[in-house]
Amino acid sequence: MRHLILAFVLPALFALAACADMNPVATAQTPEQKAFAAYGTFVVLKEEAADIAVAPGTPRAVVQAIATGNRVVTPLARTMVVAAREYVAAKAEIDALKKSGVPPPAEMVGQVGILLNRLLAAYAAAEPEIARFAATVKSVKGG
Amino acid sequence: MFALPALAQAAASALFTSEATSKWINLALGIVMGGIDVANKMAALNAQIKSFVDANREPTPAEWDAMAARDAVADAKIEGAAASL
Repeated sequence: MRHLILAFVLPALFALAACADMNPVATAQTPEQKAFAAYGTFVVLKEEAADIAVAPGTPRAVVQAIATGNRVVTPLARTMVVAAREYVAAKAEIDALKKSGVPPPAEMVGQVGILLNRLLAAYAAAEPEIARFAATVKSVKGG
Repeated sequence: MFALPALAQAAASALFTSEATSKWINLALGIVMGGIDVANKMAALNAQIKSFVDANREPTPAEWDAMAARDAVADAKIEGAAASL
């Protein structure tokens, strides 16, 4: 019986270890890619947390911990998404102007700089909370 | 990859009739499937980011929307579970 459980649990632990080694944020290179990677990592963890929360027999305290963590991190993650999308859109406008041979107005370039700073600030605010949420989900899973 | 745990679960249900034993097996299999699921999703996300890097491009609005839709579904599940406590 013990061997049977180990036979099933060990592959899960290896899968979680492989998951921990995989870091999409480290793979990303630009601020937009890093924001997408951080948001995607958050969504994958949140999907796992959601499955745990709705599973029959999950203790109330665990569901409450997941919901509390989710309410803290979700607004920060979504603020980061809005900032990233605004930055991407503004940068695309500038790129389109450059491609058509029109020099972008200085205020448009300045606005892109402001949006980049807003994205970096939103990323800096969201990233530690996403890591905290990941730790909550991992502790709930016993990993 | 997902067929193996499902087959094992079916075999375990057939082999073990004790309720306590079945619960342990189901718990262990749940951990296996959840772990594999997360690892697969992280691998897919990593591949997606790598494709951005390789193509020297940023995520498209459709890709942001698809991720936001998954976020919304998970959010509804968590809030639904919390509301039913």
